[in-house]
Amino acid sequence: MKDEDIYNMFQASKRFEDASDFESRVLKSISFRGVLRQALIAVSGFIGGLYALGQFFNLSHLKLYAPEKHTSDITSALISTELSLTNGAMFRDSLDLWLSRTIQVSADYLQLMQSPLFFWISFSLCMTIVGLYLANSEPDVL
Amino acid sequence: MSYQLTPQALNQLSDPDLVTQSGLGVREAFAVLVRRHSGPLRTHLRRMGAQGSDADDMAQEAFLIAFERLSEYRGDGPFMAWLKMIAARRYLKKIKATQKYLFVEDMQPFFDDDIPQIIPERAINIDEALQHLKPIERLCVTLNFSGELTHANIALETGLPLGTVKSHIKRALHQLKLSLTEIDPKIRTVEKRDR
Repeated sequence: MKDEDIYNMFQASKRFEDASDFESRVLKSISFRGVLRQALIAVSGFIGGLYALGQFFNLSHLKLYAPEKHTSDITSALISTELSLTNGAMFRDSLDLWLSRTIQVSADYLQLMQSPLFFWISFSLCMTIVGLYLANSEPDVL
Repeated sequence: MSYQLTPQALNQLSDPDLVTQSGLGVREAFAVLVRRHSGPLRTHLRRMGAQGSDADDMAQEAFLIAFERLSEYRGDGPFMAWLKMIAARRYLKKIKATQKYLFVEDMQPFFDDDIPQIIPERAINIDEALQHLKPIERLCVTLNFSGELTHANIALETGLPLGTVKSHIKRALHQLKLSLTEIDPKIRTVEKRDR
C-alpha cells in the first residue's frame, strides 16, 4: 500500500444521517448570533438614548402632584351630584391621581437620571455592552 | 436591476462564487456551502480524535467563524482547506487546554528499525484503522493527509518539534498500512502466537 492510497482514503468522507439537522442547526445559530448582536446594539442605544433624554429635559423643579386639589374635587362631587355621577367623578379622580403619580414618578426618575451615580452606572453598563459586543465579534482562532 | 439566484443555480456555483454571494448577503449561498462541506468537516474532526458531539459542536463553530470572516477568505486555496484549518485550530485549542499530556508524551524520534513488532488488528476502513493509533499520531497524520498541512505547519500549529511530528506521521503511516493491508490469516495467527 502506498502513501497515495492512504491519502485517497482520507479524502472520502463519512455519510451522516443527520446532515440536514446539522445544516439547519448551523444556519439557526448564525441567525441567532446576528439577532443577539442587533439586540445588544439596540439595548446599548436605548440606554444611551434614555440617558441623553434625561440630560435634555430638566424637570427637577416641576411640581405635578397636588393632593389638595383632588380632595377638593372629590368633596364637591359628593355634595353636588347624584350617586352615579359621584362614582364617575371618583373614577375620574382615581385616574387623575394615578396619572399625576406616574408623572411624579417619571419626574423623580428624570431627576435620578441626572445624578452622577446614574451617569456612572449607565456609562459602565454601556461600556460593558460595547465590550461584550467586541468580545463576541472577535474571532477565537483563525 | 437585481435578481435572485434560484436554489438550483446556487447549487451549481463553485465555492469561491458561493463565498462571494454569501458576502453579498445571500444567506442561501452559505447554506449551500454548509450542505456541501459539513460531511467532510465533521469527518475530519472525528479523524483527528474529536468525539461525536464535540466534533459536531466544533464543526458548527468553524462554520460560524467562517461566516463571520468570509471577507478574509482570499480564495488562494480550496474553501474546504480553509474550513478544516479553522476547525483544526479550534480542536487544537481545546486539547491544549484539556489534554496537555497529549503533546508531551512519546517524543522520541522514529527510526526505520522502530517498526512495531505487533501487527495491529485488520481494519476495514481508514476510520477503523485510525482507532488503533495513539492520539497524537492520529492527530498528526490526519492534519497531514486530511487537513493537507505540511510537516512544518503541523509543528507550528501543535507546538511540537518538527522531528517529532515527522516521527509521529511516519509511525502512524506504517501502522495504518499494516492495519489496512490484507494479511494472510495464517500469518496473523503465527504473529499473534509469537507475541
